[in-house]
Amino acid sequence: MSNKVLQKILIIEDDPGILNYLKTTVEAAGYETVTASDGKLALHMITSHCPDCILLDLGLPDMDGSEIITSVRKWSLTPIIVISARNTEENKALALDSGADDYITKPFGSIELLARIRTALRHSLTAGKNKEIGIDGCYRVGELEIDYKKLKVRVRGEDVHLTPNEFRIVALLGKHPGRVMTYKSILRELWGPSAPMDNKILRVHMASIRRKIEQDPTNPQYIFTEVGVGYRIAENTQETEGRPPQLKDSRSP
Amino acid sequence: MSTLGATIGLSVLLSYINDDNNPFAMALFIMAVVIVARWTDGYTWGIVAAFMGTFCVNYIFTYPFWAFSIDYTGYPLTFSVMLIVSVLISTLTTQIKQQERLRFDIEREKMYSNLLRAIAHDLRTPLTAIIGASSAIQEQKLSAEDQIRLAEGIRKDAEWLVRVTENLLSVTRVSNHGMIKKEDEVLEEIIGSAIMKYHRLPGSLPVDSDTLSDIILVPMDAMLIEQVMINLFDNVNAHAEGASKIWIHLRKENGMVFISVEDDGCGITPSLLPQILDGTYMSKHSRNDDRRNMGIGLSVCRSIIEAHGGRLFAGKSRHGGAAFEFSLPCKENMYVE
Repeated sequence: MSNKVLQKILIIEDDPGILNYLKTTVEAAGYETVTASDGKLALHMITSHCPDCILLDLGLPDMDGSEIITSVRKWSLTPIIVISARNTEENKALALDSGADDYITKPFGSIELLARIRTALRHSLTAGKNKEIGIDGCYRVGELEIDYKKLKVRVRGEDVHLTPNEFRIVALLGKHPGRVMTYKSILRELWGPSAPMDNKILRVHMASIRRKIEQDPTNPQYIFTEVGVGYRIAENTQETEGRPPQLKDSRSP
Repeated sequence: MSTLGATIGLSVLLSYINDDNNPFAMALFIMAVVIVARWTDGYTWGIVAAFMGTFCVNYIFTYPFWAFSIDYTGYPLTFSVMLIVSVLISTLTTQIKQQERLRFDIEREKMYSNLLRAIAHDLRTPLTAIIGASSAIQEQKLSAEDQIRLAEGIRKDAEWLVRVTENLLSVTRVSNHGMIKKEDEVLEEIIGSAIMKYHRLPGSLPVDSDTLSDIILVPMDAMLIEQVMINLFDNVNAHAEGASKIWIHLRKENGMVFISVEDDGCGITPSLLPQILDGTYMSKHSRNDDRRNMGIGLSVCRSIIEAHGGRLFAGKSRHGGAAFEFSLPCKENMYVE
């Protein structure tokens, strides 16, 4: 471990108890940590330490969390994971729309936290592009296959008949595996910046997509709902936990 | 005002149909006074309506028509009686209304204090266990095995506390009467999300859900309905002894969607049914060391559902255990392409 440069995580959290827990967990997993307890200090730390990943609590005493995200995003693509309380979907969506990579809802366990950090670090390497889309232009997760060249989606080897809009939604999610896409960002991506912010249309489309690609729409395997925030597509390389093992086995036929 | 106007109109109409003097006009106006008193706040409008009604009857509907007069025999008496009767009725109506409101307030106070008692009770026991277990770990005299066991207990208790506080948050969201923010949601998304969250909890049971062929949009606060589902699942874990599986059955009827959470456990004793739903079961039967009581879960479910214009029912499941069914008003089917 000594000859390897540790990845550095900046933890921005004002509650000493939670900070203590985060620091201990993250360090035990083999990362280096720096901490900040308010927004001003945090911005200073980001410029001086250049962390590989930022854990940001939205409820800081001196500054709004999304303010920090916006100012970091002006000059850096460092992945930001937002830590937020439940019942604040609007804030989560706002944080994601201002450029956060992911969020995790209090209370959470260490396994979940570390999985999010790994996902975020992986995404930073690809700078927003999905490396798992292979040379053949396909993103595969489980038995779902999104073919970006032929503009087709296959499940269990069979073509799924999606409407053009439905395909565009699936294709967009597939470009950001494991990441929450907010309703707003999906609508904007599909229908342009002046799109009416009508989540209802998106929800109905999604219900129709699920009927076509999921075996049980109420127990989805591929596209998950983040209630009040957006959608997240399943991700492949979850080496240690979370996904049932057969997903990995069935990946390459 | 419009009520009085309508009454005048109606009386004029009737007087055309019926050529006689207008004995019904007086009765109609008194009815109008009652309606006004019923629909407005305080005494003022009722009394104003009473005076105006009396004046109108005199002015329009009694001889000499379209003139105010109390010069004829019996008129002063008749109209003062009418005035007194209508003023009395209007004040009585207002009084009854205020009493009703008072009773409603008391009822609500009672509900809140029941809830608070349930919460305090739900919080105390796990907190005691957490303090005990963590201080035992700090003393460092325990084997690693025991420490892990205690840490597991702390985690379980903390998870329980999280559920209680989430319910509390839900209550604060509902209690600003009818101020819940509803958005059209696709039902299966919310059910799916609730199942996923439930499956993260230790000891969760497999859940088998129907899917309706139509895509149903239900106006709701998604977080709250998700909370209802999770509470109902939790409830199975806590109370349905011998349950091995949870079923969700859906049906749509007359603009309502019915969501039923059922299990194959021990079921509910029929005599306890009404108490379980109104949240009084817990306060009567709980013992201090019994954490697995009805808690606030079901009463929170009920208030959330009622705030959405639905109802919560309890009964027997076709799978042998208990069934908790709730209804929500839904929109017409939506078809995509």
